[in-house]
Amino acid sequence: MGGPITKSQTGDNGHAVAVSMPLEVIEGDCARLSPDGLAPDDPVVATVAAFVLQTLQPYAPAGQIVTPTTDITTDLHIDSLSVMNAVLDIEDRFDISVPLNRLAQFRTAEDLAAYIVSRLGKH
Amino acid sequence: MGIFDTHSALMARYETARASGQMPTGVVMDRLLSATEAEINGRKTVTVGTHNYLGLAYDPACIDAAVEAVRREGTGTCGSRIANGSFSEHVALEREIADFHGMAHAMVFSTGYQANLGVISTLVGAGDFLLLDADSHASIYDACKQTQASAIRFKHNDPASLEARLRRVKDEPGTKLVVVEGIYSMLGDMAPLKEMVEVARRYGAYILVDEAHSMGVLGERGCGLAEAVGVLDNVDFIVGTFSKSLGAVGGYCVSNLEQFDILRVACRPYMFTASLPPATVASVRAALAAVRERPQLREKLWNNVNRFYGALADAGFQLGSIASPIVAVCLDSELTTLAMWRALLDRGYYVNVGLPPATPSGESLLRCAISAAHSEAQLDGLAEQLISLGREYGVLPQEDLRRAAKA
Repeated sequence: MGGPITKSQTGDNGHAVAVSMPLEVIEGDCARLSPDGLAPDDPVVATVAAFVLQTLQPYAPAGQIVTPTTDITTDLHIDSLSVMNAVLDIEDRFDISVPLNRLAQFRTAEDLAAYIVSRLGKH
Repeated sequence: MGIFDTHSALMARYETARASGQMPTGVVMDRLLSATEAEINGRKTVTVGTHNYLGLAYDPACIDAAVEAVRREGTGTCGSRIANGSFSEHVALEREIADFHGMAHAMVFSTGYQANLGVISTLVGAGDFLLLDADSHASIYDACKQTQASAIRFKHNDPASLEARLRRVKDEPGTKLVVVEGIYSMLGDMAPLKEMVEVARRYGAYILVDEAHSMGVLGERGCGLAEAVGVLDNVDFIVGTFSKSLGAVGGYCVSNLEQFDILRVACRPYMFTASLPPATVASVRAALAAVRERPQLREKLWNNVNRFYGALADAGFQLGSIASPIVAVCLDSELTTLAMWRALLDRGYYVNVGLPPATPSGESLLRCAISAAHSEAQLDGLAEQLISLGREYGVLPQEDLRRAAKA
């Protein structure tokens, strides 16, 4: 599991979820995610980013570290069933669903994290 | 930039497999000898990868029906039913497949793939939600690409995971359609269907069950998992295929929903495909009669399944979680899988291979599809060869070590 999320509450799966985060704060953070990389000083963004990277790491080729700009379509084969299964854990961690057509549009781990932050609290 | 560059990663794997001579997709059966035997590379081979679960692909009554039909009605329909019209046999088959399931309506498709693709992508559209099991068949995944509905995956066979995803969209106005399979084709495991139906109903969702690998196999009448667990009257759609238990080709969807027939003029994979040829329709009708009248075929199938699954489990192989007509031997290495597959072929046994990215958790599989037509000797022979190769390739411990461990 990722680090603590400030202003969080516990979801029905027992994991901390960020549903109580004010949307305007989160949307502001979202703008800071790109193009220069994630903003690790913000606790919400940092938590989402860290969890995404940590969850995807096992699917990287041996010796490669997943970074915010790792190409998840070519380097990680995001369309493979096993990587898509890892995305299910990410969905449940933040209590959101990522539709398949959206998932296919993400090029980097950072894109995925930005989408998650934009969806927090909205389902 | 060449037109095939998109597939460069795939091409590298394809070339590697081709160069090694271990090419599961390249097998040619020179001659079919029976429901369970073919001549491959000049050798008589036991086929344990054909999904001919009840052996009806070689049933004399089904063959006779097909021969009579082709003489009577010709080799093909030469077009779709909305353009060329239906043959009375298409309509009769639809009546029979609906009756078989105790449903009011049926539509027949030219392949099982098209049945899933067509029905699922037409039932939901923009603003709707399609909730599919993570291990769904490619035809279901392709339906997701064909519809504007939001396609959301839930964890394989996990009702709580489905519930979490239905809860997230419960206040959205769109239709929700849940899609599960009776038996999953990679590992042979079954959906916890009762629980899935209960969750779907609690959230006002429709539910479709793909019984491609379970029709003819499960349930007292052979209708599939929905019948076996007593929810046949509580599912909205059942999709199935004629290419497994019924030994031919084609697909179908049955339903009790009143307006079902609108799909005939809305579902493009139905509307713009040539309809099933007379010989196929006739053999499928005969095979359906056999499923109804010969429950002993199902009994024989399950005796074979339990015998074979038991032998491999006792030997220490890692298998799919439950005995079913698909017995999947799970291996860690793609290279070992291909080598063992090739060695089995050289020893006269043909099985299927499942490799990532198509496998659920990245495992490599030797998939055996058991049939009622297999003799015990054929299956015992395959089990023996698999065990011997398992030891040779270090997948299973050596026999003396096993004995020592048991002592």
